[in-house]
Amino acid sequence: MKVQYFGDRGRRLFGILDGPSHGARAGLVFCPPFGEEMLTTYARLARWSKQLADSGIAVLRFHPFGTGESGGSFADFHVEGALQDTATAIRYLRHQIGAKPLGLFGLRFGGFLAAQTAIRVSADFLLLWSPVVKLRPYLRELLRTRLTAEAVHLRAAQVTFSTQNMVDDFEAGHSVDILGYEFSPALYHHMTKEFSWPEAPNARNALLLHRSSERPSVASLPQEWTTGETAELKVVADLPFWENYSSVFPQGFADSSQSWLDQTLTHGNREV
Amino acid sequence: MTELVNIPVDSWMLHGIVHCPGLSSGKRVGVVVYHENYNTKFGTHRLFRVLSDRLASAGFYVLRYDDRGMCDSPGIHDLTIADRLADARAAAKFFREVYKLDVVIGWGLCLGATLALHTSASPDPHEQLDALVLCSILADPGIVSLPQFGYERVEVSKLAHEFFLRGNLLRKLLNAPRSFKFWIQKLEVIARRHLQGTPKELGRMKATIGRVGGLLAAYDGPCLMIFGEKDSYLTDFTERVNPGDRLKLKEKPNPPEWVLIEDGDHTFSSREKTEQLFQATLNWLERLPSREQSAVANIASNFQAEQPSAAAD
Repeated sequence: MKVQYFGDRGRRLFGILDGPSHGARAGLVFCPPFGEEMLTTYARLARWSKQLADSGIAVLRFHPFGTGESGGSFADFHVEGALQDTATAIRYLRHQIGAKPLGLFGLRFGGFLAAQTAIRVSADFLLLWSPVVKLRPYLRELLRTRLTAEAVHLRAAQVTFSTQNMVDDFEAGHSVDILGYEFSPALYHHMTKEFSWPEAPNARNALLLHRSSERPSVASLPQEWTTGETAELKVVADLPFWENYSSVFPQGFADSSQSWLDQTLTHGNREV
Repeated sequence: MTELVNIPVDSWMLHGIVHCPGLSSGKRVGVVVYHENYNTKFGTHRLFRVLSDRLASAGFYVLRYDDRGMCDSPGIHDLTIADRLADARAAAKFFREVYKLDVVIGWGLCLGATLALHTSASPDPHEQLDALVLCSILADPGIVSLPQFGYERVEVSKLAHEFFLRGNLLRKLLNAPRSFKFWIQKLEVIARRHLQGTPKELGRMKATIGRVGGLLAAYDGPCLMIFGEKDSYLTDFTERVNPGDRLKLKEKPNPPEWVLIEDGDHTFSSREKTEQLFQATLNWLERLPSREQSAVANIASNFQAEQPSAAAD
């Protein structure tokens, strides 16, 4: 295990490399989910990363600029920056593992990052857990969490603003405080106007795991994802573990992913 | 400037990050930040990371770390409360010795505050903390839960109150099929608790939390307690742990100071509340009494001079 900073001097990123840098059978860059979900899932994804490392896969967990231990403040975080950071992470891991297959893993918003990054940087495989397919409604959800928190902590009558007020602030070029995170107008712009789910997986193999309640979201995926030959969609029975701070491990997600990776990387049924 | 460190404890290694101060000072004062349950060292809304940057820019050394086998520390481990306590003591000792600190202060949130208080009571002087900042302290064993054992906190009395006393009972019975899943889930949890009994680890954790009142009463060093006004842990503390100053904290020669952050929640989750939390911490460090005063006062006043526009309230 190697913990270190990497990336450009003005955009220092924090990363943890789990597993053998030499002799690894593959590499996997973990794209973290967003905001509090990065925190609620941190220990559990770290655990899974260490398990993958034990199975011979070198895993790089990194923190996008403005988040976690990386440089910058959260106000510096936006989608374009996170995509650039993911590409930087891929280059770093590629340097570590050489010509071995290299893939991207992402949970929730991290799934969006992984799928988007694959458009820009070559990835051999994609592994996505309950990815956020549409950023605009996701942002709305995040804005509503502030309203919910205010309604819980204050009397509902004292909550004098709405999600529309926050949107108006963004449109006017102001940042908005969502439960201690400073959302910049650039982040708002990227989430609502600039980025959408890619038309195709852009990797030779892709596995998208989701919960049954996410079927409507998955049904809206472009055709290449649902009927194409490279992507496989599978339902997992796990709870939405990113919603709470418990340490209950997402065993269904992990088991399905591990067997798919073994099949993809080892048995050659899906030659990478 | 930050340095990545490895802290040895038992047969484990803890990954830590030390924030080194930009300002030079006569004495070397460190702050160990203790995070809450099943969390990592940067914390909710990056609270601990930003706090550490601020403290370092004010002249303090700051250490944050991950527990054994968790997050960025090597290995995989099912963490117990005893492990946490051992890790907390090891972190304080490592920090004092390796960074040659004159004063080590513990700053903790929720369970982290509980750990800081326990660490201050260590029999080893190298592990002890010279002062404490306890935020949203977890002091009531009655609210401890262990979700990793499926031990969700479900209070039968509250459920009964919810069902029988709130709203129209007849309407609830008519609507029961719609809320069937919710009630079944709660009943499952209750049944599981009664069938399995209390997990031993939960008992140990409750015992550890249960000692907080006694430790607070016995602690004679400088202490600042911070709560958010809207945090349920505040009422847990004032009504169940220390009702009517049962612990006689006010009668102590060196009573804990209190800061109540208006409209603040458990984790001070807005930039305004976070800023108030930081200011409360720094203002107190500036006034830190007794033997720590000379070491900390110079540093804190440097900070105040650097942050003229930061508003406390």
